[in-house]
Amino acid sequence: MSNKKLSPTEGIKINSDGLRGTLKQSLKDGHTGNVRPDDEILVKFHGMYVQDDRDRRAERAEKKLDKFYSFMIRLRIPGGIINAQQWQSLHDISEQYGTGTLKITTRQTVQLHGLLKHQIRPTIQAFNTAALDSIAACGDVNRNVTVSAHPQVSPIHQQVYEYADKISTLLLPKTQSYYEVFVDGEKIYDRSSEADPLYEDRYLPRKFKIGIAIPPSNDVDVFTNDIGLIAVIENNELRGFNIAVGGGLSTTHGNPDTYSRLATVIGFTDTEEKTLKAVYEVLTIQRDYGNRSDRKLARLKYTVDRMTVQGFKEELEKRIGFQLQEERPYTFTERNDRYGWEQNSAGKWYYNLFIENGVVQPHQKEFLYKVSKLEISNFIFTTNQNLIIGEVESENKQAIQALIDEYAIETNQSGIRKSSMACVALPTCPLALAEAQRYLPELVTKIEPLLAKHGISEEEISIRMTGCPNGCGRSYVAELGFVGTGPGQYNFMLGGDRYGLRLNKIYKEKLNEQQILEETDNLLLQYVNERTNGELFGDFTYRKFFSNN
Amino acid sequence: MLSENKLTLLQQLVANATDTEIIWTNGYLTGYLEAVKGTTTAPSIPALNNAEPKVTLKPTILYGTETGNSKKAASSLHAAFKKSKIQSKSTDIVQYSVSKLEKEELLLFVISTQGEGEFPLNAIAFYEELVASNIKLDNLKYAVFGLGDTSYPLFCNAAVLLNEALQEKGAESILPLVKSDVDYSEEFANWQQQLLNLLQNNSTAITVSEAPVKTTVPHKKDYKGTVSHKVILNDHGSNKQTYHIEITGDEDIIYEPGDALGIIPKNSYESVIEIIGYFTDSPDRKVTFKDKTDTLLNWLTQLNIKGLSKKTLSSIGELLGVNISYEKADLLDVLIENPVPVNIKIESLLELLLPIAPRLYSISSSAEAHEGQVHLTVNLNRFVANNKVKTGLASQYITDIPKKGEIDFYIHRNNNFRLPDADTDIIMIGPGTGIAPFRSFLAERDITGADGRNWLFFGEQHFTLDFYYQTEIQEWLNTGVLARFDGAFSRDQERKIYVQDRIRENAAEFNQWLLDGASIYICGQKAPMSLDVENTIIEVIANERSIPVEEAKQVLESLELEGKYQKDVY
Repeated sequence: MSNKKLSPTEGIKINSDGLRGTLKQSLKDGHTGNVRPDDEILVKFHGMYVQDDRDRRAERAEKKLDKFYSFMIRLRIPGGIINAQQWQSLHDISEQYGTGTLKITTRQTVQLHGLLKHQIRPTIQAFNTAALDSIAACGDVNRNVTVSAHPQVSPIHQQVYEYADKISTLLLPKTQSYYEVFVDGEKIYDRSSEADPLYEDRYLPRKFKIGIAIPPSNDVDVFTNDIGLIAVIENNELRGFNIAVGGGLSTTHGNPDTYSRLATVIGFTDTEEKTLKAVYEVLTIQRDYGNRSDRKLARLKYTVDRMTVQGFKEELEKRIGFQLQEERPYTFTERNDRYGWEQNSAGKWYYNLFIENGVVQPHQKEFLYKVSKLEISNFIFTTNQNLIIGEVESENKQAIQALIDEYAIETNQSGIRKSSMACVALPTCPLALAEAQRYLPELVTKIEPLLAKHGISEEEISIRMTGCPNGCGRSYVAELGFVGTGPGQYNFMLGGDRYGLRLNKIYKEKLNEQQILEETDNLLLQYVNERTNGELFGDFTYRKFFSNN
Repeated sequence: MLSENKLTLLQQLVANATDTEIIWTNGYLTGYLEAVKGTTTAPSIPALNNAEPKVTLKPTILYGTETGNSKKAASSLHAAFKKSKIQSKSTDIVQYSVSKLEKEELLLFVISTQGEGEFPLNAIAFYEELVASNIKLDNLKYAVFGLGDTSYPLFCNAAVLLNEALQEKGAESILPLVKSDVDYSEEFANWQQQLLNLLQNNSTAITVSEAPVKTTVPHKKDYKGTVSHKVILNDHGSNKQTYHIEITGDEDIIYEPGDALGIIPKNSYESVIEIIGYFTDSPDRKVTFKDKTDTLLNWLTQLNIKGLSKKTLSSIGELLGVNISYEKADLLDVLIENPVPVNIKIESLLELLLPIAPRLYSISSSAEAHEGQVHLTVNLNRFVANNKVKTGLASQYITDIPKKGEIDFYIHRNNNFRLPDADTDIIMIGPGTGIAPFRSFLAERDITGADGRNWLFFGEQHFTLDFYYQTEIQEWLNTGVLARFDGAFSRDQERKIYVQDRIRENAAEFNQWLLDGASIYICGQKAPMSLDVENTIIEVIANERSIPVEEAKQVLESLELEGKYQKDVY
C-alpha cells in the first residue's frame, strides 16, 4: 500500500518458513531461558509470550543470572467452553508446569504463567492430548473468538456459540508448524498443504479480535473488537448478525495519532454463509490495506478510518459479491455477569462464580477440580474473567451446591468489585508501566467505604484498570477507568457508560492513589447530589464533564 | 678432571639446556653419586650381582591415591621402566593383597596423605591388613614416595606410617623415604632416576642411603587481603548456597589459571566458648603449650574440633574415660554427651587436638582479566552428621567473612591443571562449583585472545536458580570465546540429566574435538561425577571410533600421560 519501510516484524513473519523460524534451535539453546530474538515474535503466533519477572531483574543481575524468563501460554477456546475432562487436564497441567495459577482472560480463555522454556513442549503436548491448543492465541492473526457466555440468558446461545468455533477454524493459519515444533518434534509436514490463501506468508499487520454479542448482554464488549457481530433475535429466533468493524482500544502514551475506537455497525447478514464470507473478507481487506510500516497504527480501526467507513464497506461488498443489508435494531441492557445459580430455557442450571480479575484463587481452584471430577457439568469462561459451571441437570445441582458450601465459594462482594476488571500487568507483562491485577482489588477496597459514605454501596459502577495504554483490561469502556502511566500513577478516565457503548475520556492525568481517592470521593458526592432520576454514574460524569450541553 | 672431549660435551649440554633440565640433571647426578657411594658399604642384592646387563628384578608399583596424582606418578614410573626394558607392573593398592608380599622382590609405593595424616581411601585396607598381619618380609626390598602438602599437619603421614610398618615387618628400604610437597614433579623425576640407576647399573647394589629424610621447603607465600565483594549466585528457592567472593590483596597476588587459594579456617567464637564452658575454664586464661603462651580462646580457635578422626576421637574418649565408637564427630558432639571428669584439665585436651588443616578453593578468576583480584566460587557445605545438620568449617568460615573483612591466604600452585597452548581446543567439564577454574580459563583466554576453541559443560540442580555465571557465559558465547555450551540441570525434569548425558548426546562432536587435538579438563566432585564422566568419555571414544572399551581406556590414559586430560577433583 505505501512505500514506507516495512516494520521489522513483517520481515520476520515472511522469512519464518510458516512460523517455524529457528524455534527448534531456540528450544535447545541451553544458555538462556529465552528464545532467539526473531522467535520471540513467532512464539506469539503459537499462543505464547516471553515474559520475565521484572521484580527480579536487578537482584538476578547482581547474581550474574540472566533475567528470569518464562512463557505465558494462552489457550484458544472459541466461545470459552470446555468439558469436565478438559478442566481436569488443565488443572493437572497447571499443577505440573508454570506458577500453578490459572488466569482467566478478558477474552474468554485461560492462560498459564511462568512456564520455563524446557516445559513448553511437555505442556503443549499435554494440552494436545486433552484436545486443547494455543494456536493463534496471540500474534498477528485472528485471536480467540468470544461469544456472550450466558446460555441461561438466551435460548439461541448454542446456535450462536457454534459460530465462534466455525469462525475460529475458518481463520486459523494453515501452517502445521505448531505441531511440528511443539508436538511431534521431528515429523516434517508437507509444505505444499500449508498454502495459506488468507494469511499468505505475511499474516495480518496486527492482532485481530472478533467478538459475538447476544443481546441484551454486551458482556463481550462487542464494540471493542476489530469485528463485532451482534446476534439479531426476533421471536426467540436468530435472524442473522449486525456486523460492526474497526473497534480497538489500545493507544500509545504521547502518540496523538493513536486512539481508542468503538466498532461501527456497517450492515446485516442473514445467513451463515454470508456472515462467514463477510468476516473472512474483512480480514483480507485488512491484510491488503493495513499499515505494515507502523505497528502502532496497524489495527483495523486505522484502516477503516483511512478508507472511510463508506469506502471500507464498498470494498467489502466488492469482495463478498453481495450487498450488506440495513442494520437491524438491538438493545444492550447489561454487561456484567449474572452471579449465582440460573436456569436456562431447557431447564439446565448454571452457576456463575466470581473470580476477581480472573485470578483463580487456590480454594477456588481446588473447588473447581472437585466439581470437574464429578463430570456433571461443563466450564464456561466469561469475558468478564469469571467462570460458569454450566449444563447441570436439576438432579445434579445439589452435588455442586454441596461443594460450593464446603469451599465457601459464595461470597458477598460489593457491586463495584463484581464490576471490576484488570489486566495482568506487573510483574510479568513486558508492556506494563504500572500495577493492575495485583493492585485493583486493593483500590476497590479503599473505594468501597466511599460508596458507603455516600449511600450508594449497591451501585454496580464499572471500574477497570490496565497497566499500560493497550487496554487489555478494557478500561476505556468503563465508568471509572484507570490507565497506567508510570509506577503508582494512572490516567483517570471518566464518561464511559455502563454497557460498553461509549468510550470514556481522560479526566485527570497521572494521579497517584491519594489523588484518585480524593477525586473519586468528590465525584461520588457530586453524583448523589446532582444525578437525574435513574441516571447511572458514567452517564452523569459524561453529562457533567464532556457533553457540550 | 674431564677429558677435553667430555668437557666440551658437558659444556654444550649445559649451554643448550633450560633451567629445568639443568635442575633435573643435577638431581640425576646426585642420585647417581649416592648410588655409587653405596657400593662400598651395603649388602648387595643377589639379582643385581649378575654380570649380565639384563635386569631380572621385576618391581611392582603400588599406588594409593585420592585425587589421581599418585596414579599419574606411578604411570610415569611404569612407562619409564618400560622404556628401559625393565619389566614392572603398576597396580592400584586397593586391588593388592598383603599375602602377595612374600613373593615380591621389589615394591615401590607411591602414596598420598589425606586430611589429618590419613591414608587415601583406596589404601586404608592394605595398611590395616599389613599392620595386623604376622607376615615376614625379610626378602622384600622397597621404596616409598610420599605425596603431601606441607600446609597440613602430619605432612605425608601415610607415607611415614607405611614406611614404619614395612620396616617393622623386616622389609629393606632401598631408597630413603621421600616426602614431597604439592609440586612433586621434580622430586619424583629424581626418585625415578635413582630407581632406574639402581636397577640398571649392575655394578651397583641397592642400598639404604644414609642421607637424611628430605622434605621440600614450602615455597608458599602468605597474603593478606580483603573481601571486596561477595554475592550468593543462587536465586531464592535454591537448595544450594554458592558464594561468589572477590578478594583484593594488599599487594599483587601472583597466580595462574588453575591455581587454588588456600586458607586456614578458624573455629567460631561461639563454639570455642562452649567448649571452654564444659571445662569450667576461662577463655582468657593463658596457657603454655608447645613452648608458646596464648589464651585458651586463641588456642582453641586454631585447633581442629570438627569432623575428628577415629584416632583423635578414641584418645579423647580415653581422656574422658568413655568409649567413643563413632567417627567424624565434632568435639562438641562428644562433650555434649559425655561429662568431663572434674580432674581433667583442658590442657590435656589441647594435647590431643591437631592444628586446623588448610582448605583449598579453585580460583575462579584470571589475574590478567580481573585486575589481580582472586575470585572464589564457594558452596556453603551443609551436611547431616550424627543426626545434626552441620556446615563445613572452611566454607562457613570463608563465607562468613563480611564485605571489607580481612582474609589471610596463600596461593596453591596447581601445575597439573593448566591451560594448554593458546591454539589448542579445550573441553571443560565443570558441574557445580567445578566451574570455578573454567571461569578462570575462559576469562584468561578471552583477554589474551587465545585462538583455541572452548567448550564448556556445566550442570547443577535448576536452570533458573543455579546457573553460575550465566550472564558471563552468555557473553562468552556472544563474543565467540565459547564455541559451545551445554548445560545439564538435573532437577528440571523427572529424569535427571547430568553433564555426562550431554557428553553422550554430543558424542560425535566430542570425539571429533578429541581427534582435532582438544584437551579435556574435569573439575568438581570426584565421586560420582568425575568417575561417571570418565566412563562416558571412554564409552564415547569406543563407540565413535568403533574400538573396544579397553582400547578406548588406553586412548584416554595416553591423553592423561600427555597432559591432555587433566582433573581437579575432590
